[in-house]
Amino acid sequence: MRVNLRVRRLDPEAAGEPYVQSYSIDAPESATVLDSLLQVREEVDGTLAFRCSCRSAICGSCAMRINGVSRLACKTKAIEIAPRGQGIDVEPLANLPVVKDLVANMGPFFRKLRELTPWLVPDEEHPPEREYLMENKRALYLSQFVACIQCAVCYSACPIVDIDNEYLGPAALTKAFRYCYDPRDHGRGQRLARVAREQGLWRCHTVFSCMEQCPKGVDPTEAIQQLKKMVIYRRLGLSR
Amino acid sequence: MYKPVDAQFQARAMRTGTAAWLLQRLSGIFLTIYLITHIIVIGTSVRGEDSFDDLLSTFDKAPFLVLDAGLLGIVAFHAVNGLRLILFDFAIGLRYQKVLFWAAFVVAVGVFVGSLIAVRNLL
Repeated sequence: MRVNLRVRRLDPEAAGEPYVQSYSIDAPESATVLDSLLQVREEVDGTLAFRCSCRSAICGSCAMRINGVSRLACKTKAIEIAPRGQGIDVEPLANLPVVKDLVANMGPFFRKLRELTPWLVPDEEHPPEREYLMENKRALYLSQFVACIQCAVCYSACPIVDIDNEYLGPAALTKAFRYCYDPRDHGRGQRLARVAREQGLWRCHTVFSCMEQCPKGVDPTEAIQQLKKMVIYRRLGLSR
Repeated sequence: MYKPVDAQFQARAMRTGTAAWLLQRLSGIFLTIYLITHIIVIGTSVRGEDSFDDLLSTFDKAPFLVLDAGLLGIVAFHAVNGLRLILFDFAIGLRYQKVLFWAAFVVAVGVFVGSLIAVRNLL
């Protein structure tokens, strides 16, 4: 099967403008876009830069924009998006600085994630005498948010991050919700205070791009709206 | 082989949620402009009865009545989609966002067509 890739490239050392380079290769029908990129790098052009690791949608390294949609290259079959061998546009993630070719600088993304204490804050004063218990229902509801692999697809898909670069973004807010909703956590108040600001929660305009493009079936819009509800209930004194 | 592209080029997939978001903003801008025009037109009444009647007789003609039907359609879309967004702020119906968008769209088209029929009866 013929796979035609149109890759958006940038060589920072040449200090030039980004440009599009086309590659045409013969790949097996089962080839994903990542397989095709690897084949290009091995057989055609060794200078093509991109990140990848697990090749099975677990590590989240190969997130990029394919035909304008942010997705994992390893989870996207070439034949499915270009059944007649049409050109496939491959670009680096949006809303992040480009290091080289398809490699985005994930710095801003992880900085915002870290800002919201993405871990369980223990109750130091009253440590539990036995294990924490969580209802089945709550654990099941939380599991979809736990499934986030931090690939930054949602961050790249969000048009609001494009407009306001300081907006925390869907991934960080989802992580904040995941811990705020966990009954074992005691950092809720502090975390909610940090997200309840203009460039936090309230910047989300429910465009649903994050939800529609997430490769792991996480629903960041739901998490953000639940956080909004938490903040409002707290301000009204209806919850802790 | 090489084709230069705009440095700021960012292709975006247009899906239902994005379309709803854009339409809400565009209709909002349109309604603001309409409101200003409306105030100016109504404002001519302070210059006296005749100037107001003169202006209104222009807006009584068929093309403007059709535009009025369009205006009602846009108002209907903006209002119903606005209700959809208020529901989302209470985390209600997030899973049905596409259906709710199309519901707002159908209501808007319904109001537009209904107003067109009413306009035809007026003429």
